[in-house]
Amino acid sequence: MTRRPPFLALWFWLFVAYLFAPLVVMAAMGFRDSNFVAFPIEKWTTRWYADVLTDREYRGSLWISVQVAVYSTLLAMAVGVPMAFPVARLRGTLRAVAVAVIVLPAFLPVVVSSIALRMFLGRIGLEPGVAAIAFGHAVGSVPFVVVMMLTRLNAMSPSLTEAARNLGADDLVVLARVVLPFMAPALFGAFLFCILLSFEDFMRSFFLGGFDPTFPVLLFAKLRFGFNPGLAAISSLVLVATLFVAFYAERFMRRRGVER
Amino acid sequence: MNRPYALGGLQMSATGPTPAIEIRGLTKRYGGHVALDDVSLAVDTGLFVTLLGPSGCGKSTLLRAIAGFVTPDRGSVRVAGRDITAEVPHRRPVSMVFQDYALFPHMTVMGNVGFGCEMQGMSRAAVERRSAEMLSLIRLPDIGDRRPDQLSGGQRQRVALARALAPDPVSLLLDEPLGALDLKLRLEMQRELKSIQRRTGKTFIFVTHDQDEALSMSDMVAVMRAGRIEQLDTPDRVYARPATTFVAGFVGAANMLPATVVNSDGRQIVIEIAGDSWTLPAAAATSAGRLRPGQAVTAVVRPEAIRIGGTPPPGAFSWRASVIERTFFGGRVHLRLQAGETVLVAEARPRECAEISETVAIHCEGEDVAVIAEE
Amino acid sequence: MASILVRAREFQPYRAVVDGLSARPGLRLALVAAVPLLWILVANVAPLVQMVGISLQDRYPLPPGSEPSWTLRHYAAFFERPLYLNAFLRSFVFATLMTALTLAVMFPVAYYLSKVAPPNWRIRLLLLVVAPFWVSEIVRSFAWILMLANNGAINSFLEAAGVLERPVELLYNGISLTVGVLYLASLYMLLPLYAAIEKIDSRLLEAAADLGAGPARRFWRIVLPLSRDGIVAGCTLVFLLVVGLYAMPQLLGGPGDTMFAATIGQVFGRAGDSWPLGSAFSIILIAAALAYVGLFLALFWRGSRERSAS
Repeated sequence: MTRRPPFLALWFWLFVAYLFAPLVVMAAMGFRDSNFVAFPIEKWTTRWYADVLTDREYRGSLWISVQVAVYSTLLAMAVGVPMAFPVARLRGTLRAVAVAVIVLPAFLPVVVSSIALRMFLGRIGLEPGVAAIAFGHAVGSVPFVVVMMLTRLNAMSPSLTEAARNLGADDLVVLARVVLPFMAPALFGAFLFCILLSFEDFMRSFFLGGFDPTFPVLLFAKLRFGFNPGLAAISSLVLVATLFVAFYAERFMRRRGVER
Repeated sequence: MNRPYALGGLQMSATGPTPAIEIRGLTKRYGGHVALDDVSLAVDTGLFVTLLGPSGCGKSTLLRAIAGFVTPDRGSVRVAGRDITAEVPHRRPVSMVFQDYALFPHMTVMGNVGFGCEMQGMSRAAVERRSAEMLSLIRLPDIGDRRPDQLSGGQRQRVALARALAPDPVSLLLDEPLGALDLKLRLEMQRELKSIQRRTGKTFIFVTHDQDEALSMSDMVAVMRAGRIEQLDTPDRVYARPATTFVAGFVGAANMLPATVVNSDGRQIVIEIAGDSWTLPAAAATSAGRLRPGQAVTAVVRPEAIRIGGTPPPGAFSWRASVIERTFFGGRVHLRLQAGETVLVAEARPRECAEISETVAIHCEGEDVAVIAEE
Repeated sequence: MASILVRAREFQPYRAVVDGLSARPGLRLALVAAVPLLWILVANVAPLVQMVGISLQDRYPLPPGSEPSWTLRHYAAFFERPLYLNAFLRSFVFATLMTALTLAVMFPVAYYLSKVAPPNWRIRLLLLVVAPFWVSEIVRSFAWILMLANNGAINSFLEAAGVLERPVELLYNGISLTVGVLYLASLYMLLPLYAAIEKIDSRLLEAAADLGAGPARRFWRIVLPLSRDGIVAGCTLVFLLVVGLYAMPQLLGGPGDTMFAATIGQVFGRAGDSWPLGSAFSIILIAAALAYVGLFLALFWRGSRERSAS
């Protein structure tokens, strides 16, 4: 056996601290009993957490974010799932090219693709707003949906659909009874993944949004005009909710044996 | 080499007017590769027929063409007298058992077995009754609620069989279904499969590359090579009277001795091997045509037909040979023998066997020789 | 559902359509492929093509009644003002440096996760490390503001501990920007590295140790070459991410840290004929970023081919 240098473990845990310290500090700041953001925290209060939950502006932006997340996810799934099937049939270079064409947009700078999309949607008459943001998020999510579907489809033996057809199922029945149930864990995983992607997105919401901001856009605007502990409180609440969904998604996917 | 197997199944279709499966002139090309080359075959109801051959010989393609997953370039497939060449897979009255079983992982055993009946539009009660019946046929009546990943390999195999039988198909197509099992389980499943076939009276078309499996289970064996059926015959005839040197070499071990025909009439054949002349019964010839004097042929002698020591009975051929290699296998011993220029392979019981570098008298009887004439 | 479909098969037109399609795999494939192709055209290709078109027009949107006139002047504008060129160069230099830094920081982390950590803990630790990346870039920027501000967590901790007498400027400069961007980019480096290093057979290291190679040599001669694919993938991802960053440099960077993405955003925010200018800048950013990465990949693959040939 090679020796295990303690340096590596130390480095790793330092990195973990680097990842989580700011989040913990932010959650703590939400409890500060003052109108200003500063350390140390001498007096604690829960009023910020209570306040932000009833704040109309925050609730409005969260509602926009949720709407956008749901619409964009449904659209991304409706496009990405059917897209994976023809790609899964391809082999060799043709398949690599198809995957590249689908995935490449995810590598372009998001500023550029958001702006391009905004101009395009304006041209076809879709005004900035929830629908435009949802469309933009769907454009960003489709590559991930396709890749996740392909991973699952690769694990499906071709004899499975042949067996179903051999037993008398036509194409639609094969889809409804064999293929989609087999894909179910990946479908659910991709669904949650898209929700998270949409919920955390700033750039597309910023460029495609109208007057009603999503939560990250609202936060961005507020951060440029100074902060109070309420910002930390609402951010921490969103953080906890997001992590909850993320952990649930991960656990679910792993239990069903779906790789990311 | 275009042998008239066409209805080589003639002997098979003799009992009934309509064969369960009848294939005529089936041809399939993939680019330059010929997967099926003018294959014809007729299989009678209730027979267990094995397609045997090395990988790439077209046996799986033939099976998949019957199931409808391969569209032939030419030729026709009839099942129970109905031409289904252009029929979609889900309307063909044949069921397939896949090598990886292809059990639906998200359904219970019951759901799997009942799937075919459900597709026929049977009522839920009828589907359940039929599935239960099938599960008792495979002697696993209590596993209906389990899922495929909770079953052992042998159980999965049986469930796949039950699922294929449940919709009452005309014929079952089995694509190397025992390939994934270990040896012991495999032997057990061979018996089980054969017994289920006998009890249900279904026509089984079984694909394998394992000669032992083919010989021990089948009523008829079709040996395939390069998209053609080389021989279609009963297992004992395939072994004892191989039609081609390929069949002789693929099914069992064989000593193939180059020979020349001296004389051949209706009663007997005289051939010459390495200067010695042998007289064989006329039945030794495996091909239909008549042998001409001077024609080059191959005499096939199975290893166990070569006897070591002992007194040769009248009409047998004897040599002297020295033992150059001896391999012990428990119940039997393999020997390599040097007889003049020729190296022979023999199989004997340990007691009757010679030691290495010993010179022994060996012989073989005329009945145990097959004569193959090939262009 | 399925029983409806089974019943539906008694209905002749349904049968004709479904069976007709199964009998014609080519037509079926064309139907199945139509939606994806349409989507790629509408969602990915058309906006970019339109953007290229706009960047070549003198004015856009066109005033009513006027004809479009074509020009390269918006591309020329990029080279005429040092403000633009500087932001562009700053973006590329910063992204390159950040890529190198992220690689240096994340390699030990990925190595620990994939080879040193107890095997049954690996996935759990990986999930732990991935978790913060589900949080919005903006929330994470805010969290770092709270850490690094003059009266933030780090300064007040160090003052309370007696290390500092006055707060150190950590926020709104290169330090906060580096720390924040590393936070954003680390996952994109970690996952490819983890995947690549995990595939390295540990017995190779044992064999090398057996043959007398020390830890440094094992790292340079075995671990590094065998994790090459992960390094290349990670560096590509991180570079493309950082070069296009928009929000975080504005939130955590100083006044001198304007990146090219922000420049593009500002141009679009302006009134007047700014769409063609912004489009031209966008095209320049995409083309330059892809060319830069392509050059890196080409050099890299040529290098690796020569090395494996020797």
